[in-house]
Amino acid sequence: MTGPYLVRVFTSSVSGVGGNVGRLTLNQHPGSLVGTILIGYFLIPLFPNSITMYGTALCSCLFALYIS
Amino acid sequence: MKKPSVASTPPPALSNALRRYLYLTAAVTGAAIMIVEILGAKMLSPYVGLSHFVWTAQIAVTLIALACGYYVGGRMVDRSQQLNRLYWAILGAGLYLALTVLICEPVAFWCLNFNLAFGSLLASEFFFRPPWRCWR
Repeated sequence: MTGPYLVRVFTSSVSGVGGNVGRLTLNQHPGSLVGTILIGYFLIPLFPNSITMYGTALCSCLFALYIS
Repeated sequence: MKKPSVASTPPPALSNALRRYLYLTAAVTGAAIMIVEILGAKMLSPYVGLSHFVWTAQIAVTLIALACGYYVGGRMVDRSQQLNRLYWAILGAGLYLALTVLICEPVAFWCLNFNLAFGSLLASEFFFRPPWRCWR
């Protein structure tokens, strides 16, 4: 739900919506790439799976709580 | 870094700090989805293995969750553009994910009552669809 939510929040006029979607995608997909590399090459080899899952959950919670 | 505010609804013009935080939100949730997708298959592997059934289930559930997330997010933001609702959903996804670690073993064993294809799909669906839906 983050994608459509942020597109709408960023958009103040229809004329700029293409650029907004582009910039959002430009941030989201490299984030996914970083996540893939992190989990594949660093987190799984270095930490137990449960610790990494708890860490991801904690990051998600802290990230939301910071702004709420 | 100055803490961004989400008080106004909808913000007439987003502050630079808030704008940066929103872009960071997109990046972090994107990373979290991929981490949980790959790690989820690893977490289920002691119970259901790492065969093509498991990866098929994992990818299928990811795509279903993303589709549901886009739909729900679109509907929600049309009703209200309060960012608090988005971040509460992200918080809920994190809490749910922490819970899945605790109940992984009994649920995964229960899923073994079914054949491997359906059992792995069920396990993946139960554990990972809610957080993916919120993040994407």
